[in-house]
Amino acid sequence: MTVRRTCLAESGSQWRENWIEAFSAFTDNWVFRRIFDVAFAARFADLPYGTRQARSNPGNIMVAKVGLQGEPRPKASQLAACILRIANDRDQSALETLFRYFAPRIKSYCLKLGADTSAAEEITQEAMVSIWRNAGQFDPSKAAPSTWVFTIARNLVIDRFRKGRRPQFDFNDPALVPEEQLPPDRLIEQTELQANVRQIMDALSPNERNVLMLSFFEDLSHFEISRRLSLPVGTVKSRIRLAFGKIRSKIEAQGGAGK
Amino acid sequence: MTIRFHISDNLLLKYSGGTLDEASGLLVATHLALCPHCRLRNDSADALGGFLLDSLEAAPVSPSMMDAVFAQVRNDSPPCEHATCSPAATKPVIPDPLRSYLGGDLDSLQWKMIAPRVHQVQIETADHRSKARLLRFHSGLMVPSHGHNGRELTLVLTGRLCDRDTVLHRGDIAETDERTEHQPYAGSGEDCVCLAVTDAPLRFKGAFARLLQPLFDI
Repeated sequence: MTVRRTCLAESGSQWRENWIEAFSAFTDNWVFRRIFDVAFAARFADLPYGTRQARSNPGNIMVAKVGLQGEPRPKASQLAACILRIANDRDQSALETLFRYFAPRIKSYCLKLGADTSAAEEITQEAMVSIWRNAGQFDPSKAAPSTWVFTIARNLVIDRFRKGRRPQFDFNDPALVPEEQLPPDRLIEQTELQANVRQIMDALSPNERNVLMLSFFEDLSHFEISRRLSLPVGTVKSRIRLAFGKIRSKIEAQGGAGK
Repeated sequence: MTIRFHISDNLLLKYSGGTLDEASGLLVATHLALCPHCRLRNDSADALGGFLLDSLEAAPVSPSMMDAVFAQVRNDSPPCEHATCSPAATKPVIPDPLRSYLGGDLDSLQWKMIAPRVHQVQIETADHRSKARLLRFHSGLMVPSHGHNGRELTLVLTGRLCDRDTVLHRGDIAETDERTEHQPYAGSGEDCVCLAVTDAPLRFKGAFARLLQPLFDI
């Protein structure tokens, strides 16, 4: 509101132009569309996934083929159990369950990041094979299944589309500074964390969600985000800090590392 | 020494989202190796990614994809156990992934002098959006006063780097931008080694530093 008042004081027509330009730039961005996706998903959260899919892709036989229609959304604990069954028993039916849930979402993620249909399909296939091959590395106490699959998909997208690697630390590196040992009752239950993140995201104001999304999916500085949203830099920084802080506080309160 | 200056939320979210350039990602990942607190924050950012993946509208995949995936995994040999690395005789000073980019630890580097009492090792990255270099300032050295044309990230690995009232120790990060002009100096006692990542050339104020600047691509 500070910006609005300031702009009005300067010039009415300039204010309108600024807002029209900012609004057009914003609606052109997929993040904007993404926010509507999230809002839409939240409104229909109680409906089975197949129903939601059928609304947006009426009569699509490919959806029927992968079995989304009418299937209830699996719980995080069921997805985690599937990954563990692959790790322990090389259970192909578990892979099929994971495929039905994750493959269409990984493809959607690739498309959002700018991949064309054929590249998105290739990355999705590669990600599903990677889930099978690396299931032994999944640790349900460290990551929720969706988080683990997200990191696989993200790394594949970076390998494919961006120059350069994504540098990562190595837990086995002798130079790594280890965590302090936490008593078991303070270790966070990761599936619970994912549910918390969902609740927090739904509770964020659209403004808080906007800056978080821009920060997550676009390589923009605070200054660039502030220009994109016509906000002062200080407001952008504080919104990111507040919004991400709400998510972090859940983990850090339970993980006990907020020092 | 507890780390006091951490990665900003914005950088961490970009690292997790996969949009951060390679050199800045190298600095973030090296900080994460030294900072359990930020590893936990990184888990939060990844959890946000998991949430987004969960809430994406499903895009129908080709009918043949499931068969193709199963054809690949059926021919897979059982996964082999990860080779366990033999523990290093001494604990390296430089953590991974930076150590791998440099090809060795601090004592094996080929330093190049770029000014009296300042040495550097340039770090090759395939992504040229930002440049990474390891800098070694002799203890007590005053860096020439400079501004920035873009973002500058500095991660201290040994010694101390002082900037006005701020003292950075091992693992601490300084993040500066176009609006910052400063003249950091190395603390006394031990040489200060730091990883510096810039996405635009610095703006030196002194004529001598400006003269040397193109020579060393800073």
